[in-house]
Amino acid sequence: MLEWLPGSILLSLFQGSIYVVVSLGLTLTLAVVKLPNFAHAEFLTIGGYVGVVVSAVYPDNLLVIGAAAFLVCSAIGLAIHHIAFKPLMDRKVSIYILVLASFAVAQFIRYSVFSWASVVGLLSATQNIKVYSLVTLYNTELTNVYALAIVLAILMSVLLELFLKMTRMGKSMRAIASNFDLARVSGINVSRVVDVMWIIAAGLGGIGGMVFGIYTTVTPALGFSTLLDIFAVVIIAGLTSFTGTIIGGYIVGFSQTTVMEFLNYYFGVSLGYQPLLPFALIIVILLLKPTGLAPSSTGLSTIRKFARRNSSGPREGEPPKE
Amino acid sequence: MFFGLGGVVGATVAADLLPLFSGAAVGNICDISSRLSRESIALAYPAISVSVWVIALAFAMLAGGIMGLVASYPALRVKEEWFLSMILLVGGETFRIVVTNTPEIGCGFNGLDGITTPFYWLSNYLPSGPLQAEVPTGLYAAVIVLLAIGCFVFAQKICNSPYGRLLKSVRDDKVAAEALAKDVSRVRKQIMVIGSIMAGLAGALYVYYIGVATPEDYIPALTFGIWVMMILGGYANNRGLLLGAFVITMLDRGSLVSGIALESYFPTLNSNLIVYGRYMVEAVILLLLLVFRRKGLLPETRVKTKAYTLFDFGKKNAKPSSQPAEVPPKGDATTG
Repeated sequence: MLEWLPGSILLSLFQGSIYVVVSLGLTLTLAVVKLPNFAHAEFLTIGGYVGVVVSAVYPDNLLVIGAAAFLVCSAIGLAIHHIAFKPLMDRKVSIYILVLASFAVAQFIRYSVFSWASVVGLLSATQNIKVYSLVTLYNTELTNVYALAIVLAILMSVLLELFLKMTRMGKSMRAIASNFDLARVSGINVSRVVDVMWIIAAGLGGIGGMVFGIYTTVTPALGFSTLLDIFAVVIIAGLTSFTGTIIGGYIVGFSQTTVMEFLNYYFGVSLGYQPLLPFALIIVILLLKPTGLAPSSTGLSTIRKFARRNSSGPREGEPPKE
Repeated sequence: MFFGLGGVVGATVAADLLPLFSGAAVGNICDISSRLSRESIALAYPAISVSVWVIALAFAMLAGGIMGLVASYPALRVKEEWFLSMILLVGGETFRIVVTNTPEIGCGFNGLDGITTPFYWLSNYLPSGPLQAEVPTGLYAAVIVLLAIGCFVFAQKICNSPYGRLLKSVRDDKVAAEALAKDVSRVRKQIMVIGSIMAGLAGALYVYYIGVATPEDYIPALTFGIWVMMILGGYANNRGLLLGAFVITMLDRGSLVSGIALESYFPTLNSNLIVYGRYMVEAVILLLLLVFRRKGLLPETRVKTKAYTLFDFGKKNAKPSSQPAEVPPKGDATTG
């Protein structure tokens, strides 16, 4: 009677791992440059398409495809930082303007991908990577994609943690996250660290999208359809906590798959309502505990910083609240 | 979101009421046959089709208002500014998913069609030819323009009143407004309800104009276009919004027309590119505006209440500048 359960748990783990990889990048953006980047999900689309293009040339060569996805997305991340966000940040605009700008960037990237895909004829494409079963347990196949995603999530979390704790660059990044001005005064080359941050954040999004693209069909709307899920993850995490992101990723993954199938199996709720569960999580957490579920000092301090930034002094160009 | 809601509610009400009023059997409103019967009823009974239109508009406005009230509960309680846009984005997507997956509301994914303009019956009295189809649509477009002017005048009246000053103060300095014993959350709730009623009305008008209501029409790119209109003309400025709406609609229609023209010259051109290109141009316009001209094309004007025109501040001042020296706009707003 519970024969759907092992497969569903495995799928949840897979989706959760993808969310973890992608959201780590968004958490990094939020922590270091305090930007709720609504264009982050577009890296997922780009990663997926890089996977499609590169896997046509090098089929099944995961290392090459992953590296390509990372590099292309990093380049695009750097470009949008320097073209769109940096001019705005230099003018010290409010966070609302930055959100609008990130929507504009997202729309531009999305429809650029749409145009390109429509010309090339890849509006819905698949990657040329063979999916095979590694182990079969309880009638559930553990395929190489699932294993890849789960291993990748663990690997990326550990690497990012080591990078932030051990290297000089990572330490400067944390310094900028906790106090931008103090970090600059103490001699950290802020713009270089922010560049590295964009490379890592966008690259993580690209790799996540590449792995996700093996599992599903790649469409230009792939990123947008997961945008709110990724934001659900970082909101559960309290915006800037990396541990929280890992927990939040799996919470969202499980709520989307296992909880949804449970509801479908016992209460007959249509599977089409699947995206509503992360939405409900977003609203409940924003209302009840906007600092997120993860108890983290960095998260709290950033929230306070947000509050200070929003209340300190008049800024030009503050749009009305609606 | 409210726009879409108005559209779907208006269409559903219209589809339910048309057969009911004319005494025909109410079947499944999603069928093809019901679509045909809707069209024939609209053609045969002028009084019914106009009254159903009015009722549908009223229901759409009511639904918009109620949803605005419901959405204002979470939206006005969040801590950060950008959480608000997050909540509204979530609300819009929730609406789209619920409508797509619930056949009981607006026929689900396929949408509801056969919604003719309220003046469709006029084509009975017109000679056949190109005019037969154009006159009812043109008349309806004129009605929409009238309603839009009405909404604009209403918005201007709100803004240039003591209440408009209150709104400005709530926006500019919440704490100061609270210190002056203004109920900030109540004001914000009121304005959200007013805004969503207008959006509901617009949605119903739009559905009557294009004749179908599908949830897939209400993509985030639509909301995005409205943002660009707002920022382009200058937010907090009704005249600016008119300018912005004009420019973006011109871009929209212009891209359609130029797309057709381009296709005749380059038959190999992919017609999707025009639509995508339009969205990309909108995004670029918004980015450029945000970086270089955050106040929009038209600047925000001062609040012109009755008292203001009575004392005639602006005209007595010899300087023709738009900002007279004695009352800076900010102090003007907060001292109410």
